[in-house]
Amino acid sequence: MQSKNHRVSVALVALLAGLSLSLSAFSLQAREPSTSTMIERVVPTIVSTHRADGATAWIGISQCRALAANNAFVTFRFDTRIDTRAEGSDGFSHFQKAVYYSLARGTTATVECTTDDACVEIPEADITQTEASITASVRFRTLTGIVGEAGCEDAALDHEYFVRIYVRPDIVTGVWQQAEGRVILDTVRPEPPSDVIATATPNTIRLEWTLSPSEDVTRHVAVVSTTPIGAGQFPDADSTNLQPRVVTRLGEGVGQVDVSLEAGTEVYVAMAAQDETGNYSALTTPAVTDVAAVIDFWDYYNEQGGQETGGCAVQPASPSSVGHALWLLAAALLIVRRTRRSINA
Amino acid sequence: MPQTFSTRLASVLFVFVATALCSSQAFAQSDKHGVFEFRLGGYYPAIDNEFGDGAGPFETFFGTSSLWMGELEVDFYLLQGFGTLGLGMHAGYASTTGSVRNRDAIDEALPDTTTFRVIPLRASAVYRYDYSALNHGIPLVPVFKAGLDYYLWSIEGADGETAISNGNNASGGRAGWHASLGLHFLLDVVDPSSAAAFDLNWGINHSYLFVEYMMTRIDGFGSTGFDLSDDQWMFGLAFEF
Repeated sequence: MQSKNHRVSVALVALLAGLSLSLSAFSLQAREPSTSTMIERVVPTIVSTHRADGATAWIGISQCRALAANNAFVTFRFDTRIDTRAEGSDGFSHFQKAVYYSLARGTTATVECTTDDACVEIPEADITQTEASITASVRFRTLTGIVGEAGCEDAALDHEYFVRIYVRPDIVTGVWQQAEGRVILDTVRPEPPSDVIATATPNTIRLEWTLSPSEDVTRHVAVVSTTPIGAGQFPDADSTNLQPRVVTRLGEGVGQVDVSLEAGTEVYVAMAAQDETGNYSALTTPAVTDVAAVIDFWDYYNEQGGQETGGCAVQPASPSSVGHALWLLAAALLIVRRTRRSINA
Repeated sequence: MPQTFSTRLASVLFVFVATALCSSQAFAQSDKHGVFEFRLGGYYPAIDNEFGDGAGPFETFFGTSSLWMGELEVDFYLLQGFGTLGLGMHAGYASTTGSVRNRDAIDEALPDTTTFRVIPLRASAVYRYDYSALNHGIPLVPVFKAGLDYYLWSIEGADGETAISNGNNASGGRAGWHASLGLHFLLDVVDPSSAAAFDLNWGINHSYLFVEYMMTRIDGFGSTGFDLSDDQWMFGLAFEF
């Protein structure tokens, strides 16, 4: 991730001139969105996200494209515990303003939005107050500085964008509290894995590989084809019909995917890494292997001359066997029990 | 199993059965009806015996480690007196999974798996010599069992379904017999008051920790096919109700 952070730092100056950024500190621990006792929950409402959890939404390259193309809004709804529209005769107000700002990914710096110009105030026209919520919206292009679809990948951003509102519960304390929603935008593709080795059966392809060096990789995928695959393609590119299959990890650099192939077929398998915002790396150089013909225990037992044929028949070998004696003993015991029951009755 | 051993075991069993029958009126305990047992032990079927020396098919696919076999047993007393004589029903389960192999190189393990499962069902005549444990304070109860078995078995192939070879489904059953000798340790002596409370609240008269040596011959009484026999050590708990 450090290489990604470095590239991001360089790109920031040119691409986010409209936003003053706080780049004072990098840390592995990102800063969580601020919370307020007045805000029950924060709900991101964004037409395209890779995933959302609480006040945070993750956006990768494909979602970025969709948002940039449509110039969509990034909206956060802050559900309030009181009606923030209420206003006292002395001019007291529960709600002050909404702002947005951005930080490089992993930054823990505190942004005060007071004297500095790190924050940009959201116009009142893009803020909606109801009895139970405050909604603040910012255009994706405005928030990120990304204009067109192509800009998503070209920008190589790895940033966190915060939308913050200021609220206060009463005039007595008078202290403004902050509540935030966050968008994590990552348009930097992870590095691909390498050294892929594939072993194929008609039902499964077992894979061994060297892990991607990128730190934010959450899973690996494989593309499987019976026709050659070009290395360096992206699995999510529109120009390919390669469907990425999630690799079930069996261990560090070991996993498998389910397939349905004929034995003897030549198969091409390439892998890619996927990060936490859903971005795929480029495909590795494909491994080429033949689908092996498998033999299971039952086949092998029969091929070796085993006499078992299945079924549930009971076939005593001879009337004098120990088994027959025991069958008789069991029958005798049942008779004894029935006899005793009769006597007791 | 050697015939001489079977004969001896049958003789011993007969003596104990006869003894129990003769003294059944001496110590009638109306509140005891039987025993519930659960046990665990190792199991390794003798399937490869069919193939002589060397690694047979079972060892090739599943190795040489024993399978874990779990088993439940319920015995109902037929006679009580100088020990108890009863009829027991058992059901158990054991399975093992191994990699399928490359047909062209049998030593090469491939990603898919094949699974062997067995469900042993047994009916036993059970004699428990608990007279000394209950009357003389010796907390050990020898238990003899012998009976008939039926083992249901199945094999799962690489596709996760029941394997098929030469048109034969890999599932079936094998009959046989078993005999066992166990030694049960009466746990009541460890904490008599808890044992009494257990009886009062749950109707469990006595609890036992036991070890049992069980000899099974599951070969369809000598017919061709799977030999699922084994000599097993089993360990478990028993509750007399």
